[in-house]
Amino acid sequence: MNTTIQEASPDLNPSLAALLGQALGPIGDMERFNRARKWVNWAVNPAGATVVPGGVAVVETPADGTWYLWLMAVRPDLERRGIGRALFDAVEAAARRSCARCLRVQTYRRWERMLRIVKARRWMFVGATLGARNDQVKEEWVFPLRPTPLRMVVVGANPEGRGGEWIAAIRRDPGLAELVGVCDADAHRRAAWLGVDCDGDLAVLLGRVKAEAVILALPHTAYADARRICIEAGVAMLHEKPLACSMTELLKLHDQLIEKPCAMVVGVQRRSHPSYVFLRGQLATAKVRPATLTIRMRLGRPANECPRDWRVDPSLAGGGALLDLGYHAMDLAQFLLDAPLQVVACNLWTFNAPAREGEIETAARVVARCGPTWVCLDIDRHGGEKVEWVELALEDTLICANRETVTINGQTAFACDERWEAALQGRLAELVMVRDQPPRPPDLWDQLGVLQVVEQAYSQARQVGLGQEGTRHG
Amino acid sequence: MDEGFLAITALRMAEVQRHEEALALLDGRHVALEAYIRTRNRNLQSAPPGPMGDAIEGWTHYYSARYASAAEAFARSVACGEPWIESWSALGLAKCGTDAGFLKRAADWCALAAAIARRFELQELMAAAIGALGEILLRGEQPREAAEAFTLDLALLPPGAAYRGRVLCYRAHAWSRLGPGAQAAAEMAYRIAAHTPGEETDRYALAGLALLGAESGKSNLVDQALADTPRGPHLGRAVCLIARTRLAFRRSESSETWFRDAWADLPSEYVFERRWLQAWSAALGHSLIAADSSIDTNFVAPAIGSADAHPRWPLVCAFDRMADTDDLYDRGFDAVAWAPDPESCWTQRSFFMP
Repeated sequence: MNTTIQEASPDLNPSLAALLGQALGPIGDMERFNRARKWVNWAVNPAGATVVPGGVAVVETPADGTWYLWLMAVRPDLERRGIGRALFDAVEAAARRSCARCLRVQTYRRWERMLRIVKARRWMFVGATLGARNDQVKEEWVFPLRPTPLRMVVVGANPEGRGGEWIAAIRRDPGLAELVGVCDADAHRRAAWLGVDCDGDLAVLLGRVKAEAVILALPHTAYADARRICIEAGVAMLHEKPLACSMTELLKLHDQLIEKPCAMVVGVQRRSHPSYVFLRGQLATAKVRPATLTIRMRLGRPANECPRDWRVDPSLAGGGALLDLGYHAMDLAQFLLDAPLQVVACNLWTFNAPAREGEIETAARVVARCGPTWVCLDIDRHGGEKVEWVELALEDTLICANRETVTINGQTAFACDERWEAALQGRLAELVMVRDQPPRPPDLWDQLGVLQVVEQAYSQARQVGLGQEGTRHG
Repeated sequence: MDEGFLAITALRMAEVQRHEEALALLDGRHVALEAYIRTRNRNLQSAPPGPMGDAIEGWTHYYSARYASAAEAFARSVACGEPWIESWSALGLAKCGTDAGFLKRAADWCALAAAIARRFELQELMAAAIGALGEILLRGEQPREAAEAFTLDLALLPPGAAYRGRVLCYRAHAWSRLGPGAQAAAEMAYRIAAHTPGEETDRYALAGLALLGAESGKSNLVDQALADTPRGPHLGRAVCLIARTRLAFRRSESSETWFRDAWADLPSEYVFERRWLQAWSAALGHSLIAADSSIDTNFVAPAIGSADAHPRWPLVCAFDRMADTDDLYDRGFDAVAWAPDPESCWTQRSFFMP
């Protein structure tokens, strides 16, 4: 059960708790959070000349497997004397030195001088000193982190598809993961492109390259065989959504994983995207539930221009825009509202006509409820501009978000300069983390819920159709 | 059962002449409303005093096309503090605005009615507001969004609801406007909606079928609809005859006889429809029909106050588009300049009919 920072730490200073709550959002795993969390109430100036009580710092390990050092709430008197920023810079430099390699230092616009994040790997040292002398060390923590990058294979390496995005993400951060092989029907061409071991037979490839994890980026109906090979080989999986095309198939997968536990992360990247993580945090601290949540996802392809790929082949796609793009929207809605949706109505369209049996729908409009919140999902592969837009109406507040900013009543509350890449990195980092844990059946309940909503929506479209048939395949 | 839901359900029952069931449902819990239902004959004197009476008075005026009086009565009850009356009155203002061509204002009132209904879980009113919104979108030439609104309306209606056939018919209207790809779906939906015992939908569905036939050149649909529609003054009958006129015009046949029948069967309370028909008559070159003297052209639908601005409803993109065309859709039908040529004037029928 999710909880908030305030609930997890009732002894925490309320203003800091509120600050953390906004930044971190609800905490999914209480036990892990409490085990990993360390509070540093003093920061050391590593230059050694002056030791100052700087303010508050937090070391946190959220679910993406990286380590964060949060520096916030600098004491006002230090801030006035101009020490705050210098102190932060000094601590940041110390962290850089003490870590084997710092991934990134970010300054979020909203926090400006109040918050910096250091993502680090291998190990991190954070020391805190009291008193006037450097040798009076009061607290000290050393965090061992993962020593070697993850050896990965990508299954389905279309350079223009999701597989290509994953390959780029792996290569962007060689310390986190290493691409050791690619499994693709067009193995020779991929080998020339990527310069790694390529094979059309996944089982053979896994045996040859000794992979630790596999990314599955395949047509919706083609996952079952590849998944079975991965489970038998005992490698961790990063599985692109959807996990299955039907509840029956998903429950079968669940049974397979119970029988032979295997680490798995689902490729629903928006759960790791900074904008949406921030938005979820805002909602978690809001006193009232939103009245409406609208999510608009449009790919902006030219009207009436069908892509020539598996997505328009009913036998491979297993469904249309609702299963493909709508899945992301439903998952995001459930992630933000932290509760399952219940479908009220669904319209499926093939271009400008109601979708019929045997057609792949190009657009879907779903109205659902989640407690008092009415949810509208506007999904379209064609028409208009490419857009991804989330809008939440609370009583007197309108929150809008996309992949770059979050605005509250028109004022920018959050902005991030790292976009889709950050979300992909987050998923990879989560895969690294689950790989290190003892094998256990993955938690599929979120995805089970999403797939259930997809099925409800198809079913609802059929029920009130009268000329508008559901278009579910597979 | 919630009081608002109870009252609305009872009123709906009374509207379809199920007075005894309505009274049984109220079971002494709403004396004023019971009194109204017992004497319900659209006589203003029977409306109970207070906000509920104002709302009932507003609806009575509305059904008689006295929009100015209706809006005045609704304005008195729209902020009374009782959620179901507020929502019902906002819906009434939305309907007045819709009928008179102030579509943007109507959409705002509709959103307010839906927001109140949503917040206080007034499911029946929620469904009514979404259906009214669909009608606005249909008139505003947003058929796809209108079809989505009607689908939502259908999903919100309880099983066996008295308005199901009507909503099915409206959604068929929306589909019929989507072009050739949706005509088969529209035709099937009309045929289904034309068989809804216990409702007054049949004639409207047949009218939609006739217009679909006129537009797609399927004369058998027009003839069948005309044959199945009872004779006598009724909007559905008049639209069937208008469709027949259109078919005759497209075939370069004489259309004047059909047209005069249509004029005779179009009831006088459909003031703007009659005005359009006069304009189309002139465009077709028929001998002019005498202008209606009874048309009240002074009504301007009230705009929603800024304090009542609605939370944005999910069909948000349609609102955005309508806002862009604010000038066209918020002037009122009274100010519409009817096109002088037959084809352009014919397309302007979409303000009023399928």
